Amino acid sequence: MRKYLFLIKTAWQRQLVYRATVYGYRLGNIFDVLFQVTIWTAVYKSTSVVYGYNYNEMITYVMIGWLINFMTANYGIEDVVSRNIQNGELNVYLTRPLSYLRSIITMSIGRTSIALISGVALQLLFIFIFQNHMVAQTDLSIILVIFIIVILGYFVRLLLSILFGLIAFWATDVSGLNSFFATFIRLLSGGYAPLSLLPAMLYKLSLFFPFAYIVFFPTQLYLGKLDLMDGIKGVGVELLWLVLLYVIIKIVWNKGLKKYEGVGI
Amino acid sequence: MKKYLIIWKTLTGLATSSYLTNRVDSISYFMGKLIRLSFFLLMIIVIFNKTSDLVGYGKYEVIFFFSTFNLMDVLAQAFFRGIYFFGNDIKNGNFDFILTKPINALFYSLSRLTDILDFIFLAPIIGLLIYSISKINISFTFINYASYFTMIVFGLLIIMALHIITAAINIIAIESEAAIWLYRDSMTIGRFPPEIFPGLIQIIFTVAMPIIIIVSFPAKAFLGILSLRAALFAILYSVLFFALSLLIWKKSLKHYSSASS
Repeated sequence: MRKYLFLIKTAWQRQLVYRATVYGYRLGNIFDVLFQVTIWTAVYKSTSVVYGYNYNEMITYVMIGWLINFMTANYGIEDVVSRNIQNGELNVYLTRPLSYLRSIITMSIGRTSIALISGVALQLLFIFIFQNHMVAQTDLSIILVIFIIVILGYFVRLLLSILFGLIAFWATDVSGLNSFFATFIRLLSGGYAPLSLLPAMLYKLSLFFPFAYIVFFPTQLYLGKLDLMDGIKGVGVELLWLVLLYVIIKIVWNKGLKKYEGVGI
Repeated sequence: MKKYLIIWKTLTGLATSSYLTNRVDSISYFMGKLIRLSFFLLMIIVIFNKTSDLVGYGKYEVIFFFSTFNLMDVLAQAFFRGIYFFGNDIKNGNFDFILTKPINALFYSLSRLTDILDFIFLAPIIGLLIYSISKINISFTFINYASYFTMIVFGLLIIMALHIITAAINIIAIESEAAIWLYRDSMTIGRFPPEIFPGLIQIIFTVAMPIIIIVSFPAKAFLGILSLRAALFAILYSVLFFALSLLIWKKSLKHYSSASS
């Protein structure tokens, strides 16, 4: 346990060194949030309901959606994994008395903590500013289920990132793939806009994948568009995906290690 | 001039070879961009299913603004992709090697990687521009096209200046790779007509962070709704802003500490 705590501490210290970068990214996020609020405000000047959302619900979707996005983000763990493989840094991990996968999962907790704190703080400030235009969820059992879904969502996203990073065992450059997956996950998780805006077929299809349970699903729960039973089912779906992803990662990892040449050693 | 053209051609050739070597990766990158473009286009269509106008603009005018935003964004990435690697060069001290080359260090840093995929991505964007123009119910003349291209040229000058400033920030602060992403994030403001923003935000994004000049002014010039005064202001602003960026770059070079080298 101590060695994993040490990994978290080291990653945390490293992030403290690069804190200006984190704050720079946060400043950029302000434009993103501002853009979404402004565009929806302009749209609702000439209509009262868009695909089942009134203005307050849409603003709530943006605010809570971004909050959950910050809470589940791992800020490019796929790049860390692919870099470790491509630069031969994996050799160091392989000689340590620690599992690489567990090390990466543990390290990501320390690595994301400063970004998470600053992101959540920024978003809480936005929520405070826009509170009069937001829907409030007061059911404690729903809030508890949302909290569980968000924690599981963090690990679903993390395992997906690790899986994408492991592609580096077979490819010389994965930055394009990672960029594609980042866009794909953000879109299908509801990070750009509610998934209900998608064509019906695509919307139904998106619910079969784990992405929708990262942002869209908990936000719908918060808005009261899904009930407690749906929330519990969502927890079950996320747990299933976590197990499935872990098994896939283990298989890919074992196959990848046979291919690994330790380039850069 | 000829020497720099040859260098640019060589660098572009090398970048193309690299993209062709990593075909799956390159296609994935392209697909990611296409999905993002399609989604926002879908969003505009969804919005216009519920409303007939957005801050006074029709559907195809909004698509025209959105296409112009993509055009400027993609041109910037196509020509100045090299700056995305500049932060690492500064951190690792590799900028030393660039400084010792017998070419302008700024030119090399900006254009060391020409993003050929972005050039390919221009095809759907230009297609979207032509489509939206054909659907807007105005007869456009030579003046509309000429003013559009003029504003694009000066917009690109501002974009180049912003890239130079982010490079200078990298030299001075060393740890500041977020600077270029801050510019990219702020560009999102230009996706839609500027009138959707309150007056104060419009002023900030015209004067302090000139995204509106870069993206909205060319679109407005084409639609014939940009005043001559605003056009002249944009031209003067872009020239002065570019000159300022060169001054900042020169100052920043004096701060280069050759870290890690």
